[in-house]
Amino acid sequence: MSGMFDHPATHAGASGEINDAELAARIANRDRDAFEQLYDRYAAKAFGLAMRLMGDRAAAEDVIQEAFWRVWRSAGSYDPARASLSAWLLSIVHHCAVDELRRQRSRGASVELDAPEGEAQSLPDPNADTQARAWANVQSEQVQAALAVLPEAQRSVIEMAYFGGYTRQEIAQRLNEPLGTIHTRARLGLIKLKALLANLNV
Amino acid sequence: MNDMGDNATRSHADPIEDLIALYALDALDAADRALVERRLATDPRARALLDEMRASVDRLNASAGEIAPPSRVKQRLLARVDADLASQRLAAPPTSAWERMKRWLFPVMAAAAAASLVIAIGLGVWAASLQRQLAQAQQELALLQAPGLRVVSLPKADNAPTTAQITFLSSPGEATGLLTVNGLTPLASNQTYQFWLLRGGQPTPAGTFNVDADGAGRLLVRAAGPIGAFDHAGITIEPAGGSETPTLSALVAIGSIQ
Repeated sequence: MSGMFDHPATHAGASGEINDAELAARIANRDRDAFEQLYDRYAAKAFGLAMRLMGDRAAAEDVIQEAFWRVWRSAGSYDPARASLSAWLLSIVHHCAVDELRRQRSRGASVELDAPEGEAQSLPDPNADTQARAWANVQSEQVQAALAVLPEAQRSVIEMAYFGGYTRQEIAQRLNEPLGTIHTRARLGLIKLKALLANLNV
Repeated sequence: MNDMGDNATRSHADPIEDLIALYALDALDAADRALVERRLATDPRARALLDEMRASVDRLNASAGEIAPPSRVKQRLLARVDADLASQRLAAPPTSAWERMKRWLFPVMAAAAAASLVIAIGLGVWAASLQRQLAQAQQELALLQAPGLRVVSLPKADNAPTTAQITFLSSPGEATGLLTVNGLTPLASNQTYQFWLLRGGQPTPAGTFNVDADGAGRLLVRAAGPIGAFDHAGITIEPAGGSETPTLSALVAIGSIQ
């Protein structure tokens, strides 16, 4: 009998395994157990993404704590028709991480933007340590496999935008390209990436 | 800025539609984001394009890898949720009780004044106490919703019960904070728990509290200035009424709050 309780599928407890939409609805209704279940289900994904951006455990902990808190406060705004719960949650995690990266930069960074560089990987940065670690985190094999097939120009825009937390203006300045070029590369890069990742079955 | 370059790879003439990929990547500043969101609100074609871009971005998420966060993240988060739920429970019933009471308190008081002034005074005191509770609950709620709320667990000292969980919630720029404790030993009536804020090793008394039979207690802390000016916080056991300086032999918990 005890084996039954050890099985992961029974971890949802007496209420049974509930789907994402119901989980979100229960959290919106201030159900603490549902919130805890959401945390257990997605905390590792959230922390993985936060670590990728922040490159620092303490900062990543703060980011996911803030993100899950926002979920607790605003689960009512989740629309199951538009995105999976994990995609919605991770977009909040990403948003919190980007906010924090930009706060960190604006705290120490007035010089940096005056010195545009041609190459993303060799940027001077007031948070060089954090940035270097964040950059190193971008080396995940799967993304790398798909990104590697992208034209270099599109790849660097996507990496700087999504994993570096830079705005389009900062990217344009750093790559020394017009804004319109950055827009196009981001759009074409994402379209191509979707096809590539689908083929790789990531 | 020159938006006209790189025509060979440009297929979009619509400047806002052009921003949607970067919106999906979180690479817009607040002003650009507002621009795109206004368009999304009215344009189904823009929303369809965004969903397409987001599908790619979600693949990036999926391959970001999973790392288990340390258990303290969950503890702090649930402590914050518990405090939120407790504040709402405190805030909701007294509001309705107070409303109900206001409706019949005044006729009752008029009758009572005729019958007995003492009863009226008693009711008045009760009402004032309810109003204080409500005011405290409202302050707690305001604090919990403050941006940049910091939640720290204070490590317990060796002589505190092993079940003790002590959490301090504060917003560095605000003068109020909320201390919640669980699993502390209830004290005799001639003793009290006292909370201290420390700056550079100098303790400042920050309020006294007691715990219920389950060892749970809370204290709304009102400092003279921003909580962010203090670096540590601690709890001691003191004679009822509290002390001016902490009795260090009776230390219950101490830790950094920064």
